[in-house]
Amino acid sequence: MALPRHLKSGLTPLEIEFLAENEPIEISAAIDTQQDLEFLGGTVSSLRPLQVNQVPLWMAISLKKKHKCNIVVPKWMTLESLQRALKDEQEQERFSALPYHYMETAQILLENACDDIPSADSVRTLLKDLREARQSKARKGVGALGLTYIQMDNIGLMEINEIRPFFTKAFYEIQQLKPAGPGNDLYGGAHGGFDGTASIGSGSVLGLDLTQGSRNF
Amino acid sequence: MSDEDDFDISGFTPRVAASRDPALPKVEPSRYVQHLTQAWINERAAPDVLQYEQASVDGLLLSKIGDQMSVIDELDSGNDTSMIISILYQTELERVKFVLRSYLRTRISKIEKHCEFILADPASKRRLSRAEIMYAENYSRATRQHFHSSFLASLPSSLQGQDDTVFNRKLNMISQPKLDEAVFCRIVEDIGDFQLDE
Repeated sequence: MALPRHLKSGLTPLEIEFLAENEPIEISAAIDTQQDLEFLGGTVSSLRPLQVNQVPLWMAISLKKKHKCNIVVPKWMTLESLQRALKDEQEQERFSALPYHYMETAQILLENACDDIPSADSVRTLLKDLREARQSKARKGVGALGLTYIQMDNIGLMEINEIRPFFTKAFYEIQQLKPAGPGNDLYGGAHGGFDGTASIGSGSVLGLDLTQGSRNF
Repeated sequence: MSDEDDFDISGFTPRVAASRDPALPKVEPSRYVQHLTQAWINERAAPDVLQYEQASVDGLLLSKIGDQMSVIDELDSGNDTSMIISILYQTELERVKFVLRSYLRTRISKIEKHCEFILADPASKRRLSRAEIMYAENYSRATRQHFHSSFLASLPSSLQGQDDTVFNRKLNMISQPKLDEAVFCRIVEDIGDFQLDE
């Protein structure tokens, strides 16, 4: 197969982590490269000891593993900002403002650069609380699913990926439960009215599931 | 694995897609890796095959990958700092190659799945690269022949069709991409009020 089965339903968590590794982060290097680094994806200006440089996260981790740099913890990931974010999260209905890749970035940093993060343990606990609060918010979003769209500001990519299979499926089912018009009647005359009548009662979802499976026949 | 991929895309001159689809936005050379990455994400999330990124793949990326490999070869391996730079360059190279490979494989998997549909639908066919069209045609021929010789030949001729439709084209043997599924969009720019159609 050109693409393994487990990769067919969208991006995997590992691939999302891979994407997060392209995000910029600040480091203070312990080496002197003496030249600008010309990467395929852009130029990184030359690293000098004790000077703060902005580099992609994957590069920071690679240097960190060789003990050639210290990572500057992003502003949103400090103890104070996280405490503020958690408070926001618990008090307000919307998602608090965190970077698109906050979960992956935090995970990678905690795993590889624990010694650069002041009070890493509390940071870890706060992130866990934040994640749980946001997860329950995302689940509540199911109730807001309507016929056209649902808007979720500040949600992270990893969080989208978690709810994607359920949300797209649920959205599709809601669409199917719309009274059958001329445009969305799947079976034409032969099974006429089936979709329309199925929209009442709890058995309808199952009924639609069956027809959906046989549609690929 | 990589040999197959290289085979698919090498030996074709660029420019074709760009002239075929004038609406295709021009990519700034320094952004083509980001552009390819976005194309990869889109391709993975979309049910049907999207427009092939001819300009960024064939035109720029392949030659740049070659250039970068010779840069790595020329780095002085005796020097400690050069070693680290060389490792960083190689890491990045592998990351780009990974995205490129996954991008092309995703497209091939869709081409295999909806092969007959894509070949019959001019709009979808236009989105493929020349190598991909060739692949789709060969794949279609091979599967048809295989099905025919392995079992269809022993069925009555009225049941030998591989693209029959019943119920007024509502049930079709040819699998089509499901285009009415919900998608997630990330909004990158505020353009004021915008009304979504139902």
